[in-house]
Amino acid sequence: MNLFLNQLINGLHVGSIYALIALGYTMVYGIVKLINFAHGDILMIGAYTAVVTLVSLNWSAPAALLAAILACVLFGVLIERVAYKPLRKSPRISSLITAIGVSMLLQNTALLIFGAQSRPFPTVLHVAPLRFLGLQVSFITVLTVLVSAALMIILQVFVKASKAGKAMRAASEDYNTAQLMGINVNTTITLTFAIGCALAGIGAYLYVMAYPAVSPTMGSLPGLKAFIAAVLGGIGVIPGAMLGGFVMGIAESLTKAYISTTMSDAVVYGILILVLLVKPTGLIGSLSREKV
Amino acid sequence: MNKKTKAITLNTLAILGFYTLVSIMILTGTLNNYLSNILITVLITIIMTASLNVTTGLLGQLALGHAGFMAIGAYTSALFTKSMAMDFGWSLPLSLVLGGITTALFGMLIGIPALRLQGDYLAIITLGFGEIIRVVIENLSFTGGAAGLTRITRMTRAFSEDRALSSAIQFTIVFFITALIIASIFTLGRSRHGRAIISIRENAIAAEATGIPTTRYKLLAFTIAAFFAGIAGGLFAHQTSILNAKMFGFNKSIEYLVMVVLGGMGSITGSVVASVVLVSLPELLRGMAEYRLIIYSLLLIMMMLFRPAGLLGTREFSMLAFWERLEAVWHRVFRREAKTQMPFQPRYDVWDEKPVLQTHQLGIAFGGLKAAEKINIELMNDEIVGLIGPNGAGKTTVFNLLTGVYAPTEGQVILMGKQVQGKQTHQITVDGIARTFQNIRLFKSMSALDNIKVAFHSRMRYSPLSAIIRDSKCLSEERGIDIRARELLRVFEMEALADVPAGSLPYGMQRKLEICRALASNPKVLLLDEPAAGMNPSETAELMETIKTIRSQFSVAILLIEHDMRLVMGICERIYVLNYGRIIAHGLPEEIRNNPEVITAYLGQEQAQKEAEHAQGT
Amino acid sequence: MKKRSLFSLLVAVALILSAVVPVLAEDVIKIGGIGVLSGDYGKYGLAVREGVDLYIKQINAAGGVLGKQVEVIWEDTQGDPAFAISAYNKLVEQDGVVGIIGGVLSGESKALAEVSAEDGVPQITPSSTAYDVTTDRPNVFRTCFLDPFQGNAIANYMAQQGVKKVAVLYDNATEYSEGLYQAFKAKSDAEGVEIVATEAAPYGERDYKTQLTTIKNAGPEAVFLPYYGADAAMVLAQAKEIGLDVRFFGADGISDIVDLVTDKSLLTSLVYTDHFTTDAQSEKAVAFVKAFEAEYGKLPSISFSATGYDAILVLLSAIEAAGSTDKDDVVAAIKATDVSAVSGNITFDDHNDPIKSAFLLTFDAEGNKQFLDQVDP
Repeated sequence: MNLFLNQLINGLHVGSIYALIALGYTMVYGIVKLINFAHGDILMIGAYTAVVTLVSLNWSAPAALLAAILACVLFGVLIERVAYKPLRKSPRISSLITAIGVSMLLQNTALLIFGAQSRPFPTVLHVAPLRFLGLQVSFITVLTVLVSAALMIILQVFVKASKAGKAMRAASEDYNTAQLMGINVNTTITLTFAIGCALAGIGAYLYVMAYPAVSPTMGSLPGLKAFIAAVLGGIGVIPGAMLGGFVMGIAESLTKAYISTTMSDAVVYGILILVLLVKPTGLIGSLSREKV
Repeated sequence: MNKKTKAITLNTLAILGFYTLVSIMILTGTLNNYLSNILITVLITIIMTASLNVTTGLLGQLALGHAGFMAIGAYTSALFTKSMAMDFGWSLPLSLVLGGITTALFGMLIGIPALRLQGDYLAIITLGFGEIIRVVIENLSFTGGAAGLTRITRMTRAFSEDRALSSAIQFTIVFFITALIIASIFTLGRSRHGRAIISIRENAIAAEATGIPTTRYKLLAFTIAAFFAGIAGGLFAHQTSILNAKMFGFNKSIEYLVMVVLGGMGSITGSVVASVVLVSLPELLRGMAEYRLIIYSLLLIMMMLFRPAGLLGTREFSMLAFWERLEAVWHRVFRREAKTQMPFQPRYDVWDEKPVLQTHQLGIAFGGLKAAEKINIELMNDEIVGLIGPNGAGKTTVFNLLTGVYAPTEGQVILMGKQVQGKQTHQITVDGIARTFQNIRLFKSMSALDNIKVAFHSRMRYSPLSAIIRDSKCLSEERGIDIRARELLRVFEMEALADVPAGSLPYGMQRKLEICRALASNPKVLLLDEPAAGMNPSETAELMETIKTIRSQFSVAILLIEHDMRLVMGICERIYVLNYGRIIAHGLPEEIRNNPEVITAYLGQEQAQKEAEHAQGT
Repeated sequence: MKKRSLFSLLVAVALILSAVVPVLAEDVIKIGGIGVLSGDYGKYGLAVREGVDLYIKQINAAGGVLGKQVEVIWEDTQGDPAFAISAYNKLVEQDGVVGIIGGVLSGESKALAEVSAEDGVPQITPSSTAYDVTTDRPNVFRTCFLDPFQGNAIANYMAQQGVKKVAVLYDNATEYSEGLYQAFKAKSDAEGVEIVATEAAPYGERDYKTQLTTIKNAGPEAVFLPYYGADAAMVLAQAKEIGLDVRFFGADGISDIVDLVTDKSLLTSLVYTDHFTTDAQSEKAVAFVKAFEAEYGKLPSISFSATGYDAILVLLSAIEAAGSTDKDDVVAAIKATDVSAVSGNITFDDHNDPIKSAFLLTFDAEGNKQFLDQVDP
């Protein structure tokens, strides 16, 4: 039983990071219907910013966190403006290819600047693991789960209650009508990218605290899995991303623990395919079909 | 010799000359093993990109797992030659075919479920399958696990003791397989099957409504692409002699995608050029290796931003013209009469006295909402009937029910005595109901003529294989529909526009072309969804004439949705009025015009009363 | 017009190809260096390259080989065996090299052996420890020990230390890790060490906590980690996080872990086998470390610098001994090698493997490598 609980907690930990990244995918998809392939690499940018400011510039941990968030937001908005905005009216395949291009560009530029060698991330929190009920849970795990849960609640409230949040929802319902209603869709999209990337920045920090290595390709795998989580929960729906992230993390952990560690990736992709085939709208999502 | 013949001769000479030149260079050792192997890699890459172009360019679906297909072909083929104690000269071709077929099977297997989705989701699923293939290969024992397969016979050495000769044989094999594959993709692309695939890219809904079984053609495209990728994989395995699952990861798939995008999605020539450049450049600039991927990704982004159509767009170097010329020569030599096979005419019974189309208590509910219920409509032959009603009354829903876009939840649709409800759209089209759309759905980048030819699809019979080898069956049928399609355009006075891309026709012409396309499937019932929308009065008047012409010339029953009352009252013999998903009135135009219920539906209760009082007062 | 341009394109391609005719007749001896020089595993290739280049510099300063200067032409494989083959083709056909140092990873070396065996070109890999790299390849040699030997040494050392129950965490998608796991498994039984848990995580994975939790639950006294340094660093950090406090054992690929952890105290629980130690006392080794430090301003912390140095030393000595660069003569001369090299005395057995010792190393709390034991074959 303890083993099972431990594995569940492991799953929650990874899952909450997936959820944070998945939010970025899902919010962007909700409005511009674009799978932002480069979102995982935004995570990488956040991680590099954190490690450079912490180690090379000797900044304090909170300052480094802030820098990571800012860098992510900056890059996210920049990418949207330069690469995605001009393609909003193009076929979706064009924007998807562009997103793949941006992802490759970020990874390979980082490779050129920082080298392939991964950089260790210093320990910033020296807190002993928590022990209760015979379980040992690391403080980072607790922190990660709590921070992500809090962020998601804040985000949900923001989207439901604030004016900007309502504009986001309106734009994701119907882009053109929202524009007619006097909503500045450009600002709204920028804001969406900014929030998504800020969450990725926080996610990056939590990620490297748990997995203390920073490398150019570090973003692709969690990015891909977070994307799967977003689809699993129902892409375009914010609570879906949270649910998807947790389900995905726990499923992954339990697969490794009880089914197979060698084939765990195949199982993860299998889940994705199954979900898309059986319920393409995800666990909680709705999909509008093209009007004839 | 005219100019065209000259150009064609030049092409033939160029290709054969290139082959001869390279072969001689390999035999004399001028092209050493290193260079000839780069050439082989280029050729294999050409097969990969050209086949990826079938799904991504022609079908218009982004596939992110093409390297996975290559892996299946490579492993199958390598395992076959490794395990068979057969002469390599025999086992290699067998293994290539086997690799191709196995991969095609996998392509189909993956395609069947995956093709229910499209766009982004399909892309993600192909990515997922590509990765699963890699992970599974990495973990199976007969594929060598993580270590992979080694000691696969290499073509450069296996054919002959003499290395130059063996290299030359390798080049010959790979060169002609590549040429064959490219030629097949070309010929297939220009056949009824190719048109069907391209029409799906252009507008999937219209393709289905034009009688194209879209799911089957998506699957065909996927299977063909997989088959060729499998062959490329087999060649690759016997070029490198070592296989490893990591060689076929996501990045590899992306590299091929970059080439396809750069060359132009839909242009096979573009894929060829892009493969040549992107494979040989990194070899020439080996020192630049670390910048390679940066340059690729920048190219990809720039391309999408500034030249989304790729280097060549959908343009092609005209291999077909060359091919046709060869055929002409062939026919001249053998004095074979070129036959023309007209598209067969579906034989409809005479339905003069009975309704051709009948619905019985037809209805559909979305969740709890009844969008249409108890619809009873009858259409006699050669009749023009209007279907009117206020916005949101459910008119288009009725059309969607008739054409199978929505499956009715209750009631029947009876077309010439047979129930058709529940059938798929393309089947119903073939059975005799054709339609146009409220918002025009043409195959925009195809020519006007090709738009019409797509609609002839269901009335042609030749197989994909005939299309590839362009046998007499294929040619005669193609000639037949060319004549018919032009005839049809002539009826609508659009002959001169035959080669203009549909998307660049003026608005009125697009409407006409859509009707024309609907007629090409030889329907018994024609459904027109707001044909006059967006037209000025003189255009509308012209349209009325057109509709009358259609009825008289094509012997077809017409049901039309229209808001323009002048048009409706002017040409419709009977009118059905729909409101809130029910038929509220039915009768001659005069009757409908004065029906208080109809007036209420259109103007609202109060307004209708006022109108009525006003009428009484005067 | 378009047709004509296609024709001219084809002609142009043909002309370019014909223009690139190999230039022969040189007064330098050219050696090809092939290995992964970029990407995740690039550091191993670069370590080899540093060792090789150092020896070349020394021998050229001392007058070269057969009175000629020696030049090494390096080609990067980016870790892809297919690139290794095209690099080989270029070096042999285009540049006219007479011998190959490489590859660095086992996959590359096997791919290279595939083609070099057909040509009979002498090939020496400084770092591929997989058993079958040299099997049935009379022209392929190596200057490092083998996985079975490493696996044996580790299992043996564990038994000596009184370890009875051990868990394994390995990378099932990487040939190196998979091979080591198999070798270790084969030996551990004989040594009376029981494997109580076997877990896998493919390359690129960052999260090992699930596997480590399962391992912890099985209660081993030690964990065998046949990983490269980057992955192992991640494993050690997470093991600490979940409270898995046991000893860890690794093999040669883990040697670069030092720079990859910030908390060096994690390393004190790690023991691994290496080809070379900078503490080595032999005259050759001391001289090598000194020269290396003078040249590059750092210690040869990845032992492949030493085996790379030895590989080129063996190859050039054989050319000197053969008196020519004729490939068959050189192969025969390599086979007869008996030199005292940096990483130990090198003679080749029937399987073209050197008979040499392994070093068991560990780390102190500052991350300095500590010599524990030497295992002789």
